[in-house]
Amino acid sequence: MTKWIRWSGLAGFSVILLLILAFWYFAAGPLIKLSIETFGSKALGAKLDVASVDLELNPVKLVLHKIEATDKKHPMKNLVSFERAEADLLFLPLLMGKTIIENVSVEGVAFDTDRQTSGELSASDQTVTKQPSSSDNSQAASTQDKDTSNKANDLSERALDALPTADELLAREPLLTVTRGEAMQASIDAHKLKIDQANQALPNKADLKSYEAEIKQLLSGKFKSLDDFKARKKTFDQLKAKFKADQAEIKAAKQALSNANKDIRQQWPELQSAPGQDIHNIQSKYTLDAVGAQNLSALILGDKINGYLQQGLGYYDTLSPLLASDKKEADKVAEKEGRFVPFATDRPLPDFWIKSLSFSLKLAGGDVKVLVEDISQQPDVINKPIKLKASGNKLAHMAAFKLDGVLDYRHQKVDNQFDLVIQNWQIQDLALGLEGLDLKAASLDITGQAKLDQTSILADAQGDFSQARFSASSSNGFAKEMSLALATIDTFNFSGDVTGKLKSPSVGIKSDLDKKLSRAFKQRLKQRQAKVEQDLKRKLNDKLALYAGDYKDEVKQLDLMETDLDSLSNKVSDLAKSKLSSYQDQLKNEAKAELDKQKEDLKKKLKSLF
Amino acid sequence: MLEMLANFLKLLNSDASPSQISLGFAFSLFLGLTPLMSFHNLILIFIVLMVRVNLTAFFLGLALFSLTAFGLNSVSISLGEALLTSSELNAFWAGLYQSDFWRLMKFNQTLVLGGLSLSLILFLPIFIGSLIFIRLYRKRFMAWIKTLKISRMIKASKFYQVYEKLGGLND
Repeated sequence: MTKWIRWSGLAGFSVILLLILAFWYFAAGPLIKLSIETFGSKALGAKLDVASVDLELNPVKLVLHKIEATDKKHPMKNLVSFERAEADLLFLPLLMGKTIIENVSVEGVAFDTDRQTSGELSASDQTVTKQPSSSDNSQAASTQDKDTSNKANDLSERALDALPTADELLAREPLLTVTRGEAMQASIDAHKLKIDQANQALPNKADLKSYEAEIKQLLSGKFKSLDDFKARKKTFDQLKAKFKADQAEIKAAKQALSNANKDIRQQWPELQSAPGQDIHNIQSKYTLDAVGAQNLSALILGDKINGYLQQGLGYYDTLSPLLASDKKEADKVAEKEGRFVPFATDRPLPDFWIKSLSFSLKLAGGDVKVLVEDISQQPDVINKPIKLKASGNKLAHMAAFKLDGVLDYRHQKVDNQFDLVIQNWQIQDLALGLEGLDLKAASLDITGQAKLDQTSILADAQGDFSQARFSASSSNGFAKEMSLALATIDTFNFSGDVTGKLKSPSVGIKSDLDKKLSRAFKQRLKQRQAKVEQDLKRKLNDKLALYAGDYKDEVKQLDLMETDLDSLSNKVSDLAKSKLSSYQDQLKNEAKAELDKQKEDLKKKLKSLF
Repeated sequence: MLEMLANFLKLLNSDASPSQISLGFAFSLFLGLTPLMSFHNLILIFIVLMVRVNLTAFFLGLALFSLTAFGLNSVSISLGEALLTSSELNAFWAGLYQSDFWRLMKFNQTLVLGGLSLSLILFLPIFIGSLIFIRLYRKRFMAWIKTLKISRMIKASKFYQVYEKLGGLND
């Protein structure tokens, strides 16, 4: 049996073992550094630098010094950096090629720090496939910012129009008083023309005298003969026809007068009411009523909320690809090198797992403690989602800050949820969406929830502002007016919702500030408005008086003309009533008179006989 | 390649025990067909070094099977996948998974288990086949092969001369 044992082999094996351990001890640090930098940079899309990595053996501990993760959008800035990170590694899994870290404590965490050199990856380092990146978000954000800015400008302009003078209003606005007055004037002119035309066809005084003379001549004296009768008859009939025609003309003239009278009298009440309507229209347009003020809270708070949202989505966009497992890549590796098949256990073993990561964020207002649990790219293996807890107490500007998050990448459909609570946030000198307008001081309580998956977001937040004080740096303009209006408001709330695609979310903001601001604005503008309205009424009444003068003259003239026409009509009618007796009647009368005379003579003769 | 052939011929023509050569050759299957950085390979290297197997045969076999592994990896992975996902064996694997030792062995890695299973299946056939081949070779073909031109060329090669000087790796 002993001839089968090679004792020198034991020495050989020991040498091999020592070589492996030596390699592990000396080369592991640089190799880990290289792999962190390579894979980290690939995942970030920008350089991730590690100054040095130390590996301690008892207990197994990995110490990383000065880590800087470049902000892809700003290569001269770090997204996040920290001075020192200490990771307690589990030894046995490490022998299996698994990095299981019980706890990572990080010191000197800082965001948005400057870099000495650009963290942009060279073209060869960049992946060919384009990942959805925060630059897309920023592009969407900038477009949205532009939209918001435009809306803000529009609203500012509209709001600035709130305080014009009466003259400006009269020059700017299409007034009913003017349009109706001009319409009435045009009607009067048109009717005048018609009446003048009708008047020209009417008989004048000379014509009437001539008619009278002709009638008198025709009716006086006896017919000398039949021919004389015929001649008179003909002239008389001609006169009659003239009278008839004149009467028709008079009737037409009367009709024109009547139409004018009716039309003008109808237009007059409308013109009379026009100044009142004008004032009402101008008031509703220029006094920032509920309709006019509905977007003021979006104007004031929109930019800030959108800014915070884009910042949050930017972080999410950066971190999300790091936390989500790349199934395609994993499948490719499994095809070439095989895969680990997990089984049910209370001690799961993924390739990489940070059980607990804790650090303290040194912010200007104080420290925020952050605890992240169960970071792994194989959440299905550990069957746990990533949990995030960030909390800050007794911060300089906040009574409490709490952010809880659950990032669940275990299933096909990613389900990430966040809850945010901020209590008594003391806001100071916060520049608002309107140039020159600041929120000088306020206390803000916020609660918010967000649900995100790979592509979409559904979030809402509610906030209560109290002890709010506003100020405007500009001495005039809308910001100043807004500031004065806001001076009467010390509490207001808002609710915002974010829905849609992560790249281009739709943001809705509602606030009772709109109503309060509308009321405050009305109050604020009341005085100036009263003066403007007074001026406006006076000027409109002046305009009305102009048209009224025309109207009254015209109506008076029409009435006179109507009386004249009545008189003329009567005269012509009287003339038309004249009758020409016939020549036959004249002969009959003469014969009858002769007969009567003969009868009388006969009676006298008979009386003398008896 | 010429060097490998020279080694192979030298080995066959040497006085080394056919069973030691065959065993070295068979053991190399495990290292060749499974991922090198596996804990079971460390145990295997210990066995190979401690047990008087022919190391030249082992390294020659390792080179040969590492080459064949490129083609056999997919077969090994499929075999490992089939074994590890078999519902009948699930309870067995789940039981092993609770043990740190077996986890260290990476038994639940498809390529490791598949390669190891393939190696176990092929171990005896390779061992017996090699044994028969070496004995048959030495008895019937060795004298004739030595007369061949290629043998003389190999013997004349620089590498063979160095190899001759070093010698002794066989046992």
